[in-house]
This record gives sequence, structure tokens and C-alpha cells, in this order.
Amino acid sequence: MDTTQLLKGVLDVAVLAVVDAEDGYGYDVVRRLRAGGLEGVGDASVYGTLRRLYASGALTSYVVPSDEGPHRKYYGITPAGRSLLGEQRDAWASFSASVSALLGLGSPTRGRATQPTQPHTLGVTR
Amino acid sequence: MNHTTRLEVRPEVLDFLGKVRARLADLTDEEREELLGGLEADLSELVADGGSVAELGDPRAYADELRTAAGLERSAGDGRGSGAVRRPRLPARKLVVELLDGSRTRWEHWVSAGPARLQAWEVLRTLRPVWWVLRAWVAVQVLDLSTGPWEYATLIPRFGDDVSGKLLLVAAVLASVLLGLRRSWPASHAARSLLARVVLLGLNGFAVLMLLVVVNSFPSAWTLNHAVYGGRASDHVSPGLVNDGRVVRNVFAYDAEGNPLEGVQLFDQNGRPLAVEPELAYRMRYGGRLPTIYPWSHGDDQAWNVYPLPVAYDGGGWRRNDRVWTRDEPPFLPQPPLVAVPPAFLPLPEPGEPEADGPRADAREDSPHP
Repeated sequence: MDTTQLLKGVLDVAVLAVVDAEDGYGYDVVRRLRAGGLEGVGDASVYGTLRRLYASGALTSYVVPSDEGPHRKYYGITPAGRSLLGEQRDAWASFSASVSALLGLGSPTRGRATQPTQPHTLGVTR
Repeated sequence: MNHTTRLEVRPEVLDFLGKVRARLADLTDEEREELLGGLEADLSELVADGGSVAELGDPRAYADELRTAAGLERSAGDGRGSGAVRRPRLPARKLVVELLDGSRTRWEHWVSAGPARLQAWEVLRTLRPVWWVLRAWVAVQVLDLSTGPWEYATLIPRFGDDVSGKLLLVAAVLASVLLGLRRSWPASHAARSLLARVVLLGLNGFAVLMLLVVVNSFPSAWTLNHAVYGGRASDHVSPGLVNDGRVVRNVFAYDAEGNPLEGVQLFDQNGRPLAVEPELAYRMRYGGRLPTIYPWSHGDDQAWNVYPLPVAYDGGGWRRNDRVWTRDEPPFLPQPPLVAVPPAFLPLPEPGEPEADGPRADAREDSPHP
């Protein structure tokens, strides 16, 4: 099964969750997503998603200057982003529960699963 | 996660970024910077982590992925995608907007790159009102210079009388400051239209250009000091004659009876020649409108204090040619500006005689100063 197609649908919520856990810059977010189990995530997709979420107001960004080398652009979550994350979490929980039930994967616990996609917690690489 | 180790930007990263940037050329500068900002650090860290740029694949595909994930549509220029519908009807218009926005962004980037630049820019921004006044002044000067015969510019432009120049100047300053404060078109709209921006840029650019022209129309500091404010200069020579603030180019003398005189040599109270400044006399623009003025002669010396000075309509007026006297049309003494002037006499009381019944030819001999 092509997981990249699945990934596209959940990249937004995954990125929001990672940034919600702790502010991060592009490559840092990529690394945390991969450490969280989303191995196939593409750098450019994550960067683009960060920019899009920023443009929509779900994320803020700030530049951390460095005396040596290029500046890092950090992203943090906004209240709007946090409520978006909440909505998408609920949507994912009910969606994944339905699909799991259809696939005969037993009866998953319904309700607010904080990180239902992966056994790991996203944003663990702190 | 705050890596404090130094990030080295490797050439292949810059090369890769350059290709990505080129692929995103159709975006506005703002969008592109938004998309690429921080990418240099991200890619550098990837390399520092042991990765390589090569594993990122084709930079063009990378750019497309970036663009798609960011939700920025491809423009019609690329020949595919749905961007064609959104393509503005006037690409030139978009180009100009991008040029303006881009220049502004680049300028702000450049300025914010160092504290010294930032400070200098702050000072300049504070001085903006000075420019507002200056450009208003330039506008009135240009109006002054472009109307009427050429003359040296004066600090407060004169339009025939003393008042209108000042009034015009006040009005222009007012308008310019309102413009600067964005209270009047074309600077007034919060989101200014392209036309307004271009007009504003054009006006300011024109003012800068005209500032050079206007400054050039002033007499040099030297002539200013000596001629226009000659009264204040305590120097030895007076290089020019000034009448009521205006440069005198020629002098017409009449005798007491009102007859025009030719060949009058004038000196001041100290015996210094009352000479026009040749520089001022013949530095006239607009070709044949004003004649070139030539001096009388003391033999080897030129006599600029003998009036009226001969004139010649020899075209340019920029370069005086000494051989002009041997030409078919040598310089000639100009007609006096006044055909008749009233006779003059000394108001000496003449006991025993009725009030003067005519000009007194012997007035000079009757001078009260022995």
C-alpha cells in the first residue's frame, strides 16, 4: 500500500502536533516526524506544509539569527493552530476507528486518543 | 533541539537552492522568500547530519513538491497546471508590482543586515520631512525656471513680484507634506494602486533629477557671495552688479537733460570700476533669446564698467569671441530701454531766481562738495 498517499492526508495534523509539542525549524520538524515513525515523509512536503500552515495563520514563525552560518526559521503554534489541531485530532480518531473496525482490527478505544497514528509520541526527540 | 554548533553552508547546498529558486521564479518575491526562508539552514543541517543533497533528488521536483505542499499554484508561464486561470491579464503590470515589491524587500533585507545600516536608515527616515520640503521647493523652482527668461535662481523664487513666489512655495510645501503624511492622492490609499505607486515614484524621481538642475541654475557659491549678496561681502572686488537682488547685465546712463549717453565709465566711491560680472553677463541659456554682452576696451584690457556694453546676437551666448569685432555684424550699442527719462537737477535753493525753468546744465559744477 502506498503510504505516501495516506501521508498526504495526515501531514497537516502531524506537523501541527509536532510543532505544538515544541517550536521547531524545518529540518527539526522533519527529523521529529521521521523519529515518530513517518519515515517516508519528504523534506520539501514538510517545509511546504509549514509555510502553508503559517500562511493560513495556524503557525507563527520567527527567525533565530546565528552569528555563524544561516539563520534558522522557527515555527510555533498559534491559538488558531491549536484549535485546528484539536478538530483534526477528533476527526482522525473517529476516522481511524471506523477504518480499523471495517478492517476487522478489533475494537479500538474510542474517544480522544492523543496520538493514535503511531505507537510513538510525535515530538519525542527533544 | 537548539543546535549551537556552527552550520556550514556547503556549495552544493547553495547550488541546489539556486536551482530550486529558479524553478520558483514565477512566484512573487514575497512568496518565494516565504517558501525558501530558513531552507538554507535546513539543508545545511541535513548535510551536517551526514545526509547529502543528492538524496533530495532533482531540485526541480523538490521545488514542485515544496510548492504543492505550500498550496501555491503554478503559474501559466510553465504551460501546465490550473494556474492559467489565475494568470493576470496584464503580465507587465504584475512584473512592475513584483519589481517594486522585490526592490523594497531586497532593500529591507539589506538594511536589516547590519546595525550600522539600520541606524543610518533610521536617521534617514527621520529626515523624511526635510525631503518633503525640499521637493516642494524644487517644484516651484522648476516652475520658475521654465517660465520667463532665464535668470539665476534665487532662494525664494520670484514670479514677477515678491508675493506670488512665496505663496506658491507655501502651497507646494503644504501639498508635499500632505503627500508625505499620506493624506492625499496618490499616497492616500492603504493598499495603494499600482498607478499611484508608479506616479509617486515618478514624482520623487523627477524631483531628485530636477534638484540637480535647479542647483545648477544657482550662481556658484563664489558669485552668490559676491554678486547676489555683494553688499555683505567685505571683499576687495565686486565681480558683479546687482540691482534689488537681480543681476545687472547692462547699464544705461542718461545725462541730466534725459539724453542717453554712450561710453560712460562708472566707478564707485573708492574709485573701483562698477563693472558687470562677465560670467554673469554672458552665461545665459536659451540661445538667441538674450544677446551676448561684450566689453569696451582699454587697449589690452577689457573694460566692463563702460556703458552701455555692446551686444551681439551671435547665437550661442556661451562663448564670447574676440574676433567678433571684425565680422560683418559686429557688436553694437543696444538701444536704451527708456526712450525718454525725466530731466533731473539738484534741488539747490536759488535765492532770487524763480523755480527752475529747465534742467541745470551746470549742476555738476554747483556740487555742494568742494
